[in-house]
Amino acid sequence: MSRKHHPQGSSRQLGMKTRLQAWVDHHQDSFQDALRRLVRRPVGQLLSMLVIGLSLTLPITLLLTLQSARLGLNDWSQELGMVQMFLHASAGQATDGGEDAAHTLFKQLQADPRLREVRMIPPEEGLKQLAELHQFDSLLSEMKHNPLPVVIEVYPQRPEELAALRSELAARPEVASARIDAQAVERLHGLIVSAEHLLALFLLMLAPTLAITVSNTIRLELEHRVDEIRLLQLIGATSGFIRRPLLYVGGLLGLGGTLMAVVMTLFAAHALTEAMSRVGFALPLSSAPVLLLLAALPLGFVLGILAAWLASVVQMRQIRVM
Amino acid sequence: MIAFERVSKTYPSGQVALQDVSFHLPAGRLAFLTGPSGSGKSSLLRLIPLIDRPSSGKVLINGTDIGRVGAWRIPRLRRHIGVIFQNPHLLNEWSVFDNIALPLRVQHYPREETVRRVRAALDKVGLVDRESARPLELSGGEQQRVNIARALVARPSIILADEPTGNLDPELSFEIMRLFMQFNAAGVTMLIATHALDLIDAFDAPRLLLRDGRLTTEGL
Repeated sequence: MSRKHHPQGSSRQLGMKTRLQAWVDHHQDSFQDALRRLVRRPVGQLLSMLVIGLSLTLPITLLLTLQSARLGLNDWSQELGMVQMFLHASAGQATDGGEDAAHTLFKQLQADPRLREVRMIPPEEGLKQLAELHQFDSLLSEMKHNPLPVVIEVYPQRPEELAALRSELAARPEVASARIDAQAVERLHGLIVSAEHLLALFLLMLAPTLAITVSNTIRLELEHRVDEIRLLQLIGATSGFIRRPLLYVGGLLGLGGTLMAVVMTLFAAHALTEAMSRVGFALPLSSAPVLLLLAALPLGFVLGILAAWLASVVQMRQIRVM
Repeated sequence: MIAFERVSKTYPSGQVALQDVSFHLPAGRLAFLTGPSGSGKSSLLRLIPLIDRPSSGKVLINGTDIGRVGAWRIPRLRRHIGVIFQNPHLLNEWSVFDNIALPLRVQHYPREETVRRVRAALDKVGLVDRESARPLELSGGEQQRVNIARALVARPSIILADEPTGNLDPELSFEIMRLFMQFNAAGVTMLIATHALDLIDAFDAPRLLLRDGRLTTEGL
């Protein structure tokens, strides 16, 4: 030894800059150590990432698809929408020697090039539909007069003209009232929102898969390194020092698993979009969910770190210094 | 400084390892701890870096009653103590350099300082040209010298050695003891447990003789 004994042993006086540099060096060393540990058992670690990736891909893909479907629904609503006209009671009565005003209007509308389809529902058919729909047949059969008006439904060629068409038709003297019917679309919208909520819940339930997979890897890593940890404890390493490379291992596993999930989701969403477009449905993959997916990467990293921390705290309590 | 004041140690199994042991090893002194196998040498050494706690009595390190040291302060206390076992406990996946650097990494030494100190320690134990080797590529004697270099690299104020020459031939054992004498001459307090009486006869140092957990002789 080239020095004389100092009563304080190994205590040191280090400047702030040196301490900071040493701290950065330590984190670099811990990160490299974590990478070495991952590379040492590449197959096992890749399988762990794959488990995380696969368990997250299915619900994320479905969620993404539903979100895209909801975004596309605005266009569909206009395509599926129609103007429903309720005519005055007098419009259904025939004038002398001619047809009734309802049929005249129906024919005029059929000839209108702006309209894709025109349907007329006479009061008798309306009553029949009502009876089937609400099972009021006994009540309705007792009615002496049919109170229903003639209804005409028109589907425009250009969905964006729906509102203008409604105003124009409502102004006609035969028409008592006209309204845009988008009930079917609203129901579909409601269904999609419910499915989204259900899937989000499912995703929350699957998120622990990441934690469990990372925890299991950390547990195996600790079991493999019991001697090293005992030695580190003996030479004065704090629990934080011993844990740090394991936290990086957990973070990298979480990041890798989430990255796999993102890649698989993008592939699946792309394949689904293609398949849907082949059968005539445009399912646009908007940029918002893609950005959300990318934001999942740091979340996966942080979740991995948290899972590793929890696993190492529990496991290290059982390891005693040599 | 190491002081034991009426220390006893009984393991949970009921086995009594130490009974009413008292001694005082001043700072910068070297002492041999001798006694037959199972006499309590290792049990005594394990109390100093708080691997175990005494059942009764006080252990003082550099004036601090370590029985009162909280769990969070234990790592810092251990940094003042270098421990050398009969089995070197080297990490076989790491190089000789990295094994020796471990205590410096634990204490967050800057890289340049780490390199300087590890090379100095390697020079001290005569292994300068082996820094890149893996422990399994070394002989038993070389492994023990790496173990010693690791114990001294952070310049602890105390070095404890438990049968450090147990697996070595007499010539190498003598060389290791001479190395310990050099460290002690530089001011390190040393407590060396051994039952190789013929070896320690060659060195002038006080002896603590343990028999059935009792300290029967003290030359301090």
